[in-house]
Amino acid sequence: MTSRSVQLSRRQDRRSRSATAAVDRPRHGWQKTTWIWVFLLPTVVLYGLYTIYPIIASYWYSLVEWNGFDSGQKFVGLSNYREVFADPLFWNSFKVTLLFMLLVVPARVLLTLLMAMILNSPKLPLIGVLRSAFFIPVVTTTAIIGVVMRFVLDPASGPVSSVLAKLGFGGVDFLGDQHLALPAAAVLYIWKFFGVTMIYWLAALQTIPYELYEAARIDGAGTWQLFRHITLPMLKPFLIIITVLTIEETFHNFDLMYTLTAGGPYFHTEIIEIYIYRWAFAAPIPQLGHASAAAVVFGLLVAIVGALQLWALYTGRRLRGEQR
Amino acid sequence: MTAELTVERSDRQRRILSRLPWWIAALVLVGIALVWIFPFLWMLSASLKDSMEMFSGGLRLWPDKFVWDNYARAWNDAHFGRYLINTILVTVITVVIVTVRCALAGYVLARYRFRGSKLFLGILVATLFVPTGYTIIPVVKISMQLHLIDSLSGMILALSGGAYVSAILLYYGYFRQIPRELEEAALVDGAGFVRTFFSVMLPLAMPVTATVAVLTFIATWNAFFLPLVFTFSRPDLRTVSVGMQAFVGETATDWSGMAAAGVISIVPVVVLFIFLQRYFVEGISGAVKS
Amino acid sequence: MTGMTRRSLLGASVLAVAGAAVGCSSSTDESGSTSGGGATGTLAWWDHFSSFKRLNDDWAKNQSSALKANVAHTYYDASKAPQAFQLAHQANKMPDIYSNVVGLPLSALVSGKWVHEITLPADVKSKLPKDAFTEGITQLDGKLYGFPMFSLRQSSTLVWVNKDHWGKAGLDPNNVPKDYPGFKDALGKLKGAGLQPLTLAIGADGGRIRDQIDDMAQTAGFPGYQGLQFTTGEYAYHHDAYVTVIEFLKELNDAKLIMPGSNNFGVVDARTRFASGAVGTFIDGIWCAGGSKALAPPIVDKLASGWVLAPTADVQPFCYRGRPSSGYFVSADSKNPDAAGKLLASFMSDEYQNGMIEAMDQPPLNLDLVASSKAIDAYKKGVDFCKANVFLMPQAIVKNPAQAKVDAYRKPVTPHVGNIVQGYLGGSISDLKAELKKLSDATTADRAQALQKAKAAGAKVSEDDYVFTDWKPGQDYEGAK
Repeated sequence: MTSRSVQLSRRQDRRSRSATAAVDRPRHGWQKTTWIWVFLLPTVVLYGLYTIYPIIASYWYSLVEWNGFDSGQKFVGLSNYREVFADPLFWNSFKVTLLFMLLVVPARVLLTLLMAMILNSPKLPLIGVLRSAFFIPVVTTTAIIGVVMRFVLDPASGPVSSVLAKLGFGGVDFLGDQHLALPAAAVLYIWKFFGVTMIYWLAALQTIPYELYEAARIDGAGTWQLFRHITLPMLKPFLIIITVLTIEETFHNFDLMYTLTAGGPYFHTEIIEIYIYRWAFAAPIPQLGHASAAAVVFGLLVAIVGALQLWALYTGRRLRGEQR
Repeated sequence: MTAELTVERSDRQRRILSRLPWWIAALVLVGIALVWIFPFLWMLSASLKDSMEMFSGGLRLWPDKFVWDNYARAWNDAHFGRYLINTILVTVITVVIVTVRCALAGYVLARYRFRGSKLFLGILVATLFVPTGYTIIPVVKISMQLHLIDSLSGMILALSGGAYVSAILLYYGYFRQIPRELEEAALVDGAGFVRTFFSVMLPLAMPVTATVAVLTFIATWNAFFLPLVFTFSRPDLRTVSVGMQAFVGETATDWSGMAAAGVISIVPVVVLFIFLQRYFVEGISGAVKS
Repeated sequence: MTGMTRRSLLGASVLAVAGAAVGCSSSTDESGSTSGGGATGTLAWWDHFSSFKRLNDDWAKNQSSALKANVAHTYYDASKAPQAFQLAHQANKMPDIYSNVVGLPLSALVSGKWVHEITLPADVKSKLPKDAFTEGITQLDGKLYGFPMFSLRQSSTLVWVNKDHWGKAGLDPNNVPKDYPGFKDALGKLKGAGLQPLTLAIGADGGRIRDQIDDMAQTAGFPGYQGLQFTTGEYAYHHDAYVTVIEFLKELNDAKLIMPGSNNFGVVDARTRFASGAVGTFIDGIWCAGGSKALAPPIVDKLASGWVLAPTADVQPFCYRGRPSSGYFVSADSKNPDAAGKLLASFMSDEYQNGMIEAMDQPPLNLDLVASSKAIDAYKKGVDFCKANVFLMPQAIVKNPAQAKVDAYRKPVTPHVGNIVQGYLGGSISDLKAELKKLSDATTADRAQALQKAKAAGAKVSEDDYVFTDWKPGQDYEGAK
């Protein structure tokens, strides 16, 4: 930990010295320009083919009626959008997506903070083992976790039901009950990605100089006061960043939801990604226009959060700057 | 002398006493951690049980008798041996491509100003938040036109082509901080553009490379959607995550075989994590720090 | 015909998913890899019939020598098959013959260059039933494109029971109740004996329970198919028959006679519970025997079957289905369509038909072979029931093949009946009748927009194509074509 803080400070040094040196002007003319573009080539090609082009194409698809395998793409203007907006199930999936976010984000941000603070205390034994244990779900394959969890939560013969049965609650159908399915999925999601946010917080906590605590303790501050007057203010900029990062990650939950509930029961866990999949791939005759329109709308939603994220990063950095 | 001893003992006692709450806390946490990793323990135990014993349910983790046959079934009949090799191939190559291409791009963008560099950066940042799942349809189309749809190389290209703007930006941020003198020294030594990068700059950026490699690794190993779509007509090219899904669809009663398949898919990545833990942790915390 | 294709697609996919790749337990050389389709001397064959996996693997070997070509059979999991076939089509890599899983109406398949005309030897052609050649379903402009495989006399909704469980509860498995009250009593006795009484595949996309509700609505007196009334040509999901059926399921659900979890079960999940002996009763298609056997072989000796349930014992459980749809196509890319036709023709041989029966899946066209086959009694009983009670229904596409255009413009209407059942049992929907009325209206509106588009594209279609005033219950519809 000490080595890291040293490293950090060294890096900051470097930053201040090199701030003006960052940008070079072209000197060797064409040769250098060539190399620059050679260096950029892989990114230009791959990025162009697999990111830029698809984005443009999605916009086009959202304006046509097309089943994806005929050559016949018929331009229909905004009618796909009209249909998407008129579909109560689209709004349902919109609602489910936001609800899921509301369930997940506060729990994930706050519980992980708590755990990170516990696991950051130098006096705690077995700290390495514990950190690893809480992190392990992160590295495991989400699609496989989804499948395994369906067995773990099986109301007839899964282990969770066995425990509940011993406690006197018989056969709770977590994934099949309309009220429980989304919360159950949320709990699993928190469990799966708990480690990521925990590491975020650990990194944040380690930026707080230990001397600050020492000094405060000498002044007679108690644990709560330490938390209230040192930890919390120091963590505030990180809170913004971590919250927005977590919100962003929450949008990408197709793998887990699809393998866990595939949107059921009765659309109660149908997040927008599954809604899109249903129209694009799971319909007897794929409706790519409709799916693409929904995708564009969702893309805009994510973009708004993305803009928020940039703003948060900026604000976070400014807040941190002020503290120095 | 007696007084001294008492003081010493009470000192030690106090020290032990003061450590006691921590040990209790640790024990509680170990309990929580066991519940935390219970699904994995359960999967491991299930993978060694008889299928019928699985259905009878219960909490007992220790199997009545060990059925190693489950692994043979998952490895051979359900082709998880092959899926594992596919996954490793795809992941390793993707990690290499992503790391190299992002380092190259991040480097030039950070160190040189050229016509279009601002625009380039602007486009990258603008697409930072494009969710890849929704652009899948055109990705399939274009792969088809390039005759890459039914191949691992097509899957690798698609996986390494999408997103990863944050990786470029990480390199960008890092290379910007490196003092210019270093580069100049290299130039004085007679190193050209390419050698400066590979022998001076890239080694300097090791921490970023570790971050990018680890994040790409996790993302690629766990990728589900792209491999799913790329292997529809070539079941032999499936990765483990897609293979698992297919296994469930095709042999629904074989819970223990599925558990074995799950263990086969998860063990390599867990082992890797245990050995490279530091990089995983630094890789992820890098996202907050910069 | 959208409905038609959908139904056959669902039926097929359901049984394929459920069938649990027989080959998975056999040797590794049956890997999923495909040998290059279309090359001369090689006949590539793709399908999604999991219960026939072994049969077809063997048949490919057998026919390799008969046709002097290398017949390469590849099985695709039904949930992946449509996408796989679509991708292969776009990449011009379609196999010589492939099963009908894409879900497009025939006219679209022809115009999209998916299919090649099938040439069959005359003696084989004469073996096929007359109603297997239907303009718009298997034929277009008099040319045969789709090869029918399955009899129309089948059902998705028979009652299947585990004799052990029923015996333990003091019930007679050879006399499964045919009406609602009797069935509910029997389930109550199972529950009383400490057994899980019933499971249904209500979950996943709700496609299976949707088909079953449609069937049960017919036995409960709905004069139509998938909400569409034969005599009026109007959608009437809010008909009393639908309400009766769904309320009955709700009753079973509220009495806790349906196994917990069923609301989230796909067909495979539900059948797995049944085949492994975790639950005593399962409502499933005629293919239940074959599908369960593939999951857990010992179940076969414990199976008994009943009928499609009807509200009261005095009702005749009549069901109505459309003409046999296409089972296989020959690909437009095929380098050797003649040999492909011969391979298809070989499916009509008694040997292959017997193989199909022994797999106890969807019954083949030639039902006469069932009685003397090695299939179990429960399967034979199911086939007998279907033979006596399933009738040919009138179809707009038969009356006016131009209706294919309309089908091509139809869009999925959600929530469909299956979703509604899921929502009603789970408590998300309180006013069932209102929800069904909404479905009728939405389906009507969708048909109207499709009709309008088809007319705009020059098709001569009208709403009258859906009206069959001369339809009579309890007999095959043979009205004017």
